[in-house]
Amino acid sequence: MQSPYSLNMINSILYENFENKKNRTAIVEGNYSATYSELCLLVNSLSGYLKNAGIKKGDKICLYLPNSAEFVIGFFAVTNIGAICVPISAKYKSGELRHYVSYSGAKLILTTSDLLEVAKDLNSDIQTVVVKGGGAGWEIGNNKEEKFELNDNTSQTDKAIYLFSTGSTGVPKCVARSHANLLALAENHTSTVGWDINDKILFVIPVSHTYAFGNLISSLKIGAAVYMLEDFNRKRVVKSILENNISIFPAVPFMLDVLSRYTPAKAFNFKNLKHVISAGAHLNESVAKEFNNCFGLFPRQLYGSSETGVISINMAEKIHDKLSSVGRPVKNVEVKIVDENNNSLKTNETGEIIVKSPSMTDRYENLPEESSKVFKDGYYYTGDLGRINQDGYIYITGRKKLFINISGQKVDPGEVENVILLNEFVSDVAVVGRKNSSGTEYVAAYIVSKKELKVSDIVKFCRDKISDIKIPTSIKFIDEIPRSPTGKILREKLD
Amino acid sequence: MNIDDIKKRIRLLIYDKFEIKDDIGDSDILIDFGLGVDSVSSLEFVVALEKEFAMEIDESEITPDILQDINSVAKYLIAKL
Repeated sequence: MQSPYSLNMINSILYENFENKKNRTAIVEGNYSATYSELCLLVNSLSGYLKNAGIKKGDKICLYLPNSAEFVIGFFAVTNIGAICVPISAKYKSGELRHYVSYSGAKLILTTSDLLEVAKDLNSDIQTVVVKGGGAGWEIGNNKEEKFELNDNTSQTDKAIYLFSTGSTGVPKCVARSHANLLALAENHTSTVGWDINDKILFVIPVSHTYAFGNLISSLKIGAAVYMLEDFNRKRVVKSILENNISIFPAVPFMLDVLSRYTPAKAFNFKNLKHVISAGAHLNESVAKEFNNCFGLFPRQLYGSSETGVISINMAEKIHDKLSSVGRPVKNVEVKIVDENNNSLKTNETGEIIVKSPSMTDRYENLPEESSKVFKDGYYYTGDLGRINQDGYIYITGRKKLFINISGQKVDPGEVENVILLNEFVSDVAVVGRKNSSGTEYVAAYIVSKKELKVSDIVKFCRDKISDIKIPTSIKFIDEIPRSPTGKILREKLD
Repeated sequence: MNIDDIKKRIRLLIYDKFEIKDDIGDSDILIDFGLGVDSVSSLEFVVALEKEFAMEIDESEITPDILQDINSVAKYLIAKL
């Protein structure tokens, strides 16, 4: 049925499912499940609540929520008003939350009772609404909505979501993606991967992050059932895959590695799994092979970014000899390799990967100088180094950007350095990425202190200021940070 | 296996698997050596313990208190073995 409302907005995918898939399962979280019809009514209900709270088109609303039904409802409720959704990792501490709230100019935070204390710690007059847990201002159980209405005053160029990109400047950069960007992402991704209405897709990776968020939107577009798990726990993941007949499992390499080494899981054949997706960090061939040995299918690498959405995915039929590739570009996405003078390179020559996509943004919000460096002539310069082989398969070989990639979560060394420098007994610091024997990257800090400090002093100091993943796991105290004459840290000289 | 044997094996595992060169006492705080600071390093430590002691550990049971030092890890393992 043709929607009477604008098909320009991302919520039009819900309208189509409301009409055509109303009794099919949309979302499952623990013992709770909702059909597409119920999901749409919940979206309408929360939209109404937000409107009554004074939220209007263009306002920014933070979703400070874990993987949950409420995240999905919250996203569509916010965008249904024409407001802009700002997902924030539930792992973030108050200092990080404060930054994102302030940077985005958010008017309201949707959160859980468990996270309320962190949100309250902002000392700001921003409205905070609990939508999950005790004392909720709005909650699923109290929904009495009986109709679903799409807002029809949203244009395709209106912003739908703010995502954040990690760089090396000490401050995350805000990326706005429009309704048209998200619709293109869902269309291009689903057309390429061939998922369908019968798929059951497990989300353990955080849906506040661009990788999971893109997969989530694509899943809902095709009317599949999405299953939410709040955290990665091997036992619960295996149980969910088996009991729910999960067919699609987006993961990060670390998860695939530990699952392959998890003895209780090896007793099972994940016969319903048709795609295991790996993204966020490089997947070692040894991990891919071990996963296949254990569970009978190779993970498929996906490549994307906050700036562009999904770029490519490895859908090769004979994948065993292309395990290291992140695949070919998804539908309507163009990928080129260029040298330092911006000349296009030939097959198998290594250079910077640049991308043109209908799902990408064309700037960082309020950062014209940063934007002009990476958004040029309609392309996004990823900062990743790679090559494209004769069959069009992309191989990522390195990166120009200075960030640390911990199991798919990007950490800006500058941000960690800024936090450690707040310690009155630290006079200088340099943070770098190191790899352990399993190939997993971790944060290492080199510190010049004014008095004798212990490693635990620094860890405790960081603990309530940045999320755990950013806290250095290796800390060394040294006499001097090597710097160039202009003061730039010479990271390569740190052992 | 007595608790001293378990502590010895935990210590050797930490030296070997996590490439830590400093001496670690039974009551030294493990996060001082980068173990268990975040969910990734905690789970890597748990996976290494599972392999070393041929046992299954549910990571949802693992609190920061359990990973505090070699004493607390050994006490947890004794109760599980």
